[in-house]
This record gives sequence, structure tokens and C-alpha cells, in this order.
Amino acid sequence: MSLLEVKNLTRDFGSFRAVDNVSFNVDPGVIMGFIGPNGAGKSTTMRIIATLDTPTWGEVFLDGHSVVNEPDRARPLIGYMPDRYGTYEDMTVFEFLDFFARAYGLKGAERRARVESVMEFTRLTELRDKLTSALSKGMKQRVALGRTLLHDPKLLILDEPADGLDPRARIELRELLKALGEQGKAVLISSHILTELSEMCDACAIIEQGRLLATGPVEEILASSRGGSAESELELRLLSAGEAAERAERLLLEQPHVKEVVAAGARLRVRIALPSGTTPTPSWVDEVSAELLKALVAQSVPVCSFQVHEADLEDAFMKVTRGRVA
Amino acid sequence: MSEGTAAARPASKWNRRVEALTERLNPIIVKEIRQGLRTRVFWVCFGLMLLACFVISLVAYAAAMERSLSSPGQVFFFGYFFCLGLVHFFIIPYSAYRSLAREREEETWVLLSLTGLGAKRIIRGKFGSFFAQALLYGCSAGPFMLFSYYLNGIDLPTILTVIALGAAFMVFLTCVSVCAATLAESRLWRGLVHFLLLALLLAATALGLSVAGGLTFDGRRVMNDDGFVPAIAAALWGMISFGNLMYQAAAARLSLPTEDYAKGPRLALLFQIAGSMALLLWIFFEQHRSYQLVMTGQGVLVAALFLVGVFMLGGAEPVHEVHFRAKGLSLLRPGAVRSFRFVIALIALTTAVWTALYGAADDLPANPEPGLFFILATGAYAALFLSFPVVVARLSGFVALNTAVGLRVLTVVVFVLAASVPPLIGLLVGIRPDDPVLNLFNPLVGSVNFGAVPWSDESPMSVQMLGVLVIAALLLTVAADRMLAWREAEGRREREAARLGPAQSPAPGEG
Repeated sequence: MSLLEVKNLTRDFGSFRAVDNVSFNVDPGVIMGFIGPNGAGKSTTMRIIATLDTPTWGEVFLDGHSVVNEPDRARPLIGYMPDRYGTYEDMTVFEFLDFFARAYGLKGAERRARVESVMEFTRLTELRDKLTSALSKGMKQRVALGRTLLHDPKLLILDEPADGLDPRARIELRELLKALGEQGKAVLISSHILTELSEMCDACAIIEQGRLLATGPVEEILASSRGGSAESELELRLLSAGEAAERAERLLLEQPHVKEVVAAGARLRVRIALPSGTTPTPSWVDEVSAELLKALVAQSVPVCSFQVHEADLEDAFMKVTRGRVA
Repeated sequence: MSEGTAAARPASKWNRRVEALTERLNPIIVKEIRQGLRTRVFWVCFGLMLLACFVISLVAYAAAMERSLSSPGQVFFFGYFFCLGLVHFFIIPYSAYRSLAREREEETWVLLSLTGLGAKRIIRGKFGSFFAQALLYGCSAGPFMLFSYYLNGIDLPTILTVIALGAAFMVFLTCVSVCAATLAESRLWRGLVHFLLLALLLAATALGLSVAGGLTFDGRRVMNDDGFVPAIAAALWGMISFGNLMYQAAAARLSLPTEDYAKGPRLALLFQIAGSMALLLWIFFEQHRSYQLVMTGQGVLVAALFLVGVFMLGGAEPVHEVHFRAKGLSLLRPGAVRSFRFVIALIALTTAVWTALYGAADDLPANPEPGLFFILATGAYAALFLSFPVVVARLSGFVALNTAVGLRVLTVVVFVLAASVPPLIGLLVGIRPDDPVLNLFNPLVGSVNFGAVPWSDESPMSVQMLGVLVIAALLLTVAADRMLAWREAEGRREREAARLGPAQSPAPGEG
């Protein structure tokens, strides 16, 4: 049984449908990216899962408990971090975490140990006596993350946690989330920065205009994005620009599957495609690439590197969302 | 992350004792006190209050030496109370308002809700922390007030009465302020509420200090008056019952959507009406079986129900089946239709009780009609002016009018127009401003006309006019009830459509 089961989740605001029949699962230890443009319904879905809103229809089960009918049982299993971190400016880091630990019902030595443990994990120990108003955005975000961990939840819901962070803070966040995933916690994280998500997520769900367009392990989504397509791109780098590049361009354009070649100095970007009506096989890109490389080498074109452009989450997102819901 | 991998900091004996004490407290109190002690407002107010009390004491000492005042105790007690009253009637309630409003603006409220503390416990924590601050101020000013007793001119019962009433008023104003912090959602409305609350607190501070001044300087005479105890009891009951109602309403507004938000405020309203009625019945049967008491009771209770009804009109619609499955009496469950029925039922019950009681009065006048008319008319006006805006909003189709705030504003506007336009028309066309026919649907002048003194030559209102008013109120009440019920049914149908929609058209690209 999955830790989080979202079934046919629908949320209407008057005549506007913010979330439309969304279903997905998240298993323990899985970091799931929740991807979608602004207004796609990510935050609404997350708020419903966090028991802060109720669906118009549908259900969400967390470790077998309905978040609508048994919110009191579901809440202790959830660590929710909204897009605004929500720290009290006139409290120190320790006081802030200590307060929330009390609010979660932790008492005495257990509470103190838990707060210290969370501060150590989120690397806040040295900042314990600093007012939260004096912290940078990255530090505040670590404090907010620490708050979500105080009651040892099974599921973390992080709404745009990387928004506005500098590169160093992002890398630190990524490391923290990986460590949490290794501890067996499920993480549902939304973000606009897809390259960040692709590096840290095991699975993802793509949502647009309230409808879930794709969900599953990241590799599967990337593979379906690559495999099902009758088009692909190759990237070449030659030893030198000028005459060699012109010769390579001419030669490539003569090949049957090459549709377009864009040269920029010694670098060439080659778009290849199958003839219309041909069903793409899983290996067609590799086969065409091998033929092209063979032809270039046969004509003594000085090729330094030759690679198929690997689809990433951005490509998958663009492909899945393009024109699917108008 | 491993439990207890880092050792906790060694704590001193004093810290351990404080820690042990705070373990038992509501976490919100600990947080608010930590935050409060760090704010400039607290230290500035505390310092200024102590300084002012100290300066007054020096003046008192000098005056006592010179014997320049005949009863210095009264003057200097009021001086100390003035300093404390400014803090208790303005600073404490306003700080409580800001504290809760900031939680909502900065969305830390959401984080608190998720901890499982619950809206009521969080609000109680807020109250607790501000009452603790108030106690601190009170304890600091207390010795000075005691000092004024030794200056002669004021007795201990007066001092204790003023302090006790002041404390009750402070608690009431803090309840009002906390409730106000939950009223508005949008920035514009929040700004308006902020402004209105500031005005209200300033007026309340002036009122509180005036009453305290009156009691201080004229305490012995006022307290020996027969009406003093009932007046104080009524004021205390009003503050307690309205304070409780506002606390429950604030907790309901801050409840999460998965919680049953309706029961608390409705039970609080029931408690208020039942308690008020019991108090008035006790006075009626034990003290004074007066028809005027019956009329006053009806007027006050119906006015209170109308005021509360204005806020209950915009009751949130149930958004999920979980609300329809809420346990308990139907009238206590969430939904605008049930909150409307609840208020109308209370108005009808109150009117029925006072109508029955009117006949049992010992001093019924020769012509008892006006009193009876007044009781029935006030009930009808309350029902009519709660129903009419619902019907207008529904028929107009304007979305803005059908929101909670829109409906409240519309109700107030309709009431004000109905109360003010007919007398103006009367003046313009050259007839009496309180013309009975023209003011038939005027809730204020109409009530006065219906209850016109029985020793006048003739009652200006006829039974036919009362019949028209009652029938209009009944028709509008039924219409409003049907419209609210229809809106709820419409919402249910939409939910059902949402449930069936996905099944008919599977989501694309899933999996």
C-alpha cells in the first residue's frame, strides 16, 4: 500500500475547477516532484493533502487514513511547508523550533533532544540564538524545514521550497531532501525549477490547468518522452570551425533522416526524424546516429564529440503539456 | 537525523524550574510571553505607566503634606486607574488584535492549525498571554492604588468595584478585538476592520474611564442606589455572554474546513439567550411583574438576535459531505440555511415567551394592545430585516451580494434605509415624520409606534397594520428559507456532477 493515495481529487471554486480528477500515489522513501505552471492546481492539491482544504470530490488517504474524514489522524503524519515560510521574526531559531515542538505535544527531555536533533540535521545549531529576522532566505527556509520535521512526519509536503534561493542554498536543500528520502520519508515537492527536481526526484507528477497529465518514476516519464517520439536531436563538436563545419553540414543534410542542421562555430545541432507514417522503434535514434557517425568518419570529418541530446524533465514537461489542455 | 545525537545545553537550576512550569502551560502562552517581552510596546507602556504612577504619587505626597485637597484619595485613585485603564482598555486589546491579525496575514496561523492545537486552544492561549500581561500591569499599579486608600476620601468597596469592573471590561474588549481579527479576509476589509476597531477601542476607553470616574467620585451614592446591582449584573452578563459568543465565533472562523465550525457559536448564542431570559424571568417573577420589563426584555433580546443574525446570515456553506454528516441537532450543523433557521427560531421563541409573559404582568394598563403589538412587531421586524436581504441578494444574482460580507453589508444598508427614508419622505411631503402608515416597515419608528404609550388617546397602529407586517415577515422568511435551501441543494448537485464527471471522461495521459 502506498503511503499517500490521491484518488479522483476535484476542487471547484464556484464555477472554476482548480483541480480536476487528479490521482497519484507516493510510496515511502520516494521524493515526488509536483510540476506545473502557475495556477495549475499544485498548491490547492497540496493544501487538500495537508488537511487545510477539502475537496469538492475525491479522496486522499495517508497511511490508510482519509485526510477529509480523519484529519486528526492524518495531521501528525504530515509535515507541511507552504510557499511562505512563516517564521516569527521576533523569536530566535531555538525558541521558534521549541515552540512548535511544544505545540506538537513534545515534552521535557524528549522535546529538547528533538529540537537539538533537528537543528543539527538542518545545520542550524550555530544559529540557535539568532533572531529569525536576521536570517537569510536560505537559512529561514532551513528553519521552516526543521519545523516540519519536529514531529517526525512520514510525508513532507513542500510547496515551492527552492523559490528565490541562491545556488548554494538550493544545493543544501537538495542534500537535505535526499537524506530525508534515505530515511524513508516520502516527499511531495513542487517547483518551477525542473532541472533541480530532475536531480533530486525519484518520481514526478505533471499537472496543467488542474488536470494530471503524467505521473510515475522520472525514468519512465523520460523514456516515454524519448521513445514515443519520431524526432530527436544530436549534438556534434568538430575539431575546428570553418571548412570542416561546412563540409559536415553539407554531408549531414544529404542523409535521409536529417531534417535540419544548425551550425554555431565548431558545434552542430542536428535534428533527425523518421519519415511520416513510420512507427518509431526504441532503438531508431541509436541506429540513425551510428549511420551518421559512420558517414562523417568515412569523409574524414574531424569529429571530437557526438552525442544524442538526452531528454530531461524540461523536455518531458514541454512535450507532455504542449497543447494537451487548451 | 538521529534522536538525541546532540546533547541538549546544560540548563541552570532557575531555567529548569521555569522549564518545568512552562511544560504545563498552553504553548501559545509561552510563545506570546517570549515575544511580548521582546517588544518595544510592552517596555515603553510598562515604563511610562510606572513613571506616571510614580509622578502621581509624588504629587499626592506633596498634596497630602499641604492638605490642599479635601478628598485626595478619590483624585489620586482615579489618576492611577487612568494610567492603568489606558493600557487595559486600549493597549492590551489592540495588541491581542494585532497578534492574531499578524498570524493570519503572515500565514503562520496555518502552521499552528496543523500542529493539532485547535482553534479554540490557540485563541485561549492568546487570551491567556494577554491576560498575563494585563495582570503584570495591574500588579504594578496595584500598590499605588492601595496607597490612594490611605490618602482618605475613597473606601475599599469602591476601589475593588472599580478594579473588578475594569478587569471585566478589559476581558470583554480583548474578546471583541480577537474576534475582529478574524472578521476580514481581504486586505481592503482588514484595513477597514482595523480602522473601526481603533475607533471602537478609543470610544470604549473613554467610556470605561468615564464610568470609572463616575464610580470613583460618586461611588457611595451610586452603589447605594436600588438599580446599581441589577445594572452591574446586566452589564457583567452582557460582557460574559457576548464575550463567549465572540470567542466561539472567532474559533469557528479560524477552524479548518474539515472541522465542524457551526456548533460552538450557535450553542453560545443559545446560552446567551437562555441565560438572559432566565435572568429576566427571575426578575419578573421574584422582583417586579411589570409589563414594561417584558417589553424591555423583548426589545433587548430581539435587538441582540438581530445583531448576531446579521453576522450569521453569511454562514459558510458546507463544502464537503463531511459537513452534512456532522453529528447533533440539525439546527446546529453547518450551512447558511440552518444558521438562518436557528436565528429565526430563537426570535420566534423569544417573542412567544414574552407574549405569554405579557399577560401575566400585574400592572397591565387599561389598554394592553400597544404592549402586545410591540412584542409581536419587534419579532416580525427582526425576521423581516434578516430575510429581505437574503431574498434581494438571491434574486439580484450578483455574486458579490451573495457572499458573507456582501450579505452583511446589504442587511445593514437595508436596515438603515428603512429606518431613515420614511421619516425623510414624511418631512418632504409635509406629513408627520412618524406617520404610522409611512413607517409601517420602519423597524425603529414602527416599533415605537406599535408600542406607543397606552395612556395616549388612541394607539396609532391598528391590528390590521400589525397583520400586514406579520404576514410580510412570514412570507419573506419562508422565501429566504427556500432560497437558502435551494442554494445548498444546488451546491450538492454541483458536487454530485463533479463526482460523476471524472467517471464519464477519464483523465488524459495518466500513468
